[in-house]
Amino acid sequence: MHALDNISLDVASGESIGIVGETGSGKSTLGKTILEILPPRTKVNGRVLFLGEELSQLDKEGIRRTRGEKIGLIFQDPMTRLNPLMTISDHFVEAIRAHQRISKQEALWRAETALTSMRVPESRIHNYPHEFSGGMRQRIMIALALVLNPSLLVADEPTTSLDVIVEAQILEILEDLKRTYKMSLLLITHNLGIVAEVCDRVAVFYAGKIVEIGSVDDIFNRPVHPYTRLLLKSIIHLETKELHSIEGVPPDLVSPPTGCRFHPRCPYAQAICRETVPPLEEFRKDQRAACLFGKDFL
Amino acid sequence: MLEKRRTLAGVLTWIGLGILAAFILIALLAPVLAPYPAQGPYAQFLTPPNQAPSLNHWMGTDNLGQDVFSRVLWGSQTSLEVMAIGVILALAVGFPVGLYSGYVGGSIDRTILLVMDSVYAFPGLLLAALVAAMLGKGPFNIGIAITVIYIPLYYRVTRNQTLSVREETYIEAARSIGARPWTIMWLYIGYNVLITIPVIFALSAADAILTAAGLSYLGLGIQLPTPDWGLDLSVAQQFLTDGVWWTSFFPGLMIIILTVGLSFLGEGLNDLVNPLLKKRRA
Repeated sequence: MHALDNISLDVASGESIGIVGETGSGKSTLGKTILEILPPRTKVNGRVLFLGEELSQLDKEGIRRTRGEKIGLIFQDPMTRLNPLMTISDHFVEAIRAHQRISKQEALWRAETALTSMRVPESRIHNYPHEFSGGMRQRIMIALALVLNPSLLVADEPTTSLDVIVEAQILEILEDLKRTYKMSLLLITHNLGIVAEVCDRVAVFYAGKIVEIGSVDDIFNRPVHPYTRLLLKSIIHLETKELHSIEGVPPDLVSPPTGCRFHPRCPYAQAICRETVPPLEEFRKDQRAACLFGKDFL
Repeated sequence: MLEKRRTLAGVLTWIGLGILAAFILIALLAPVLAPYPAQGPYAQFLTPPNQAPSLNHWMGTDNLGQDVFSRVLWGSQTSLEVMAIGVILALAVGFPVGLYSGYVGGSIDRTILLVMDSVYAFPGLLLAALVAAMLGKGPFNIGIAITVIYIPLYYRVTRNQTLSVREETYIEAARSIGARPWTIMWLYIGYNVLITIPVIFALSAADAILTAAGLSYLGLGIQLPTPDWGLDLSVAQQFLTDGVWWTSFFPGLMIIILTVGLSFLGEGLNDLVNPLLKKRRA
């Protein structure tokens, strides 16, 4: 089974790019591929270039050093991401000392600074994970991912299990970080609202492929691919009177549809869509889409 | 129903702990408690042999005229020593190997598993007898012979638990911040696996007492004149037909009480830490 197929993506320094798509479209797999934390025996073809280094060529120790120090990763569902038997300070000291030879005391100071910047009271550093709420745990996870100042942060649905107020706080923190540290951000989400708020560019995933990629402005206001257009119609706005949904279900990736993978659900599908795989073509400057009839939607 | 079961588990645990603590005290205080301290553990020929229990000799005397009560007290030292060596060494080997095997997986895991399962398939007492015969006698060697039986048990439990903890999402999170494999194995997985150990620790200790007694009984374990329950049983049985019941009854009783106590402890702990029961309570 191919979870991802022919994905090519670049993130500039200080840029934030949103990855959107339905459940099972391969978004999270992309994030894990970058850090090579996929399940054992997963086959990966291709290259990951990062600051002039080819990550896919690094040995185990090299990739371990990259994780956390150069590329940070935060996950959805913060409730289960911390070891229940370790205090927050243990997590930080372990993470920092896995990369840098500094004293425990110094690691603790840095942990306190990181926590404070995430608005977690430093007095609670010696508490255990179960003593924190979901929002606080996610902020702890972000602090943990950022304590080593990575140049790229991969955020995999960082706010999915949190309520809207906490979500807004987290997004604000992410924007802050981007501005202050010139950190690049790869934000994986199925929430288009978050992307519009935080990201510069968007890549829309469907069934393991990129169907459209471009600036937030272009994608949200002038989408080309029928899937993107339908996706945007399914968001709730203040002025929404009728909510649209996309007919059908995401395809089974064990035997994906032939030709364009979206054709079984596409209202504009023609006979040729069943046979020809559409290439990712540039329809506007820096806006590419994989649709044979893209021109008709300009 | 469940509340009842948990209360029962608590009671069992405390009874088991009490019995174990009592035996540890007896073993430590044997020199003080023994009624004939001047003679030490090998007190012999004090009185005529094979005397029935009396006020002077609460548990009678054996065929050499030794005070059975003294030997039972001193024998607790031997039993506890052999048991402790046996299960602690088994844990010290089985736990790290199980952790490593479960963590790395693949062909290394399958190879270790095969070896351990072959050892496990062997009848325990037979294997221990074989090792004891190779190593020679004495409490330490018997302890090692017992260790060999229990290593696969600790290995199995640790490995299986490791396999399930390894899939927890906080392990993935730990990897994503660049934790070292060694740290992940010991700190993130190890502690979470260790929770399951006390239960089999207690149960295997109960079993170890029986195996040690069995070895001594077969003449492969502790040698005279060292006081040992299994050994005393073995010597005593030839006099049973003469109506001398006390020399086998009291050491046998001690084996039963200690084994039952450790089993209570293990079963009680099992019910208390069983996550299924815990979840249903909530």
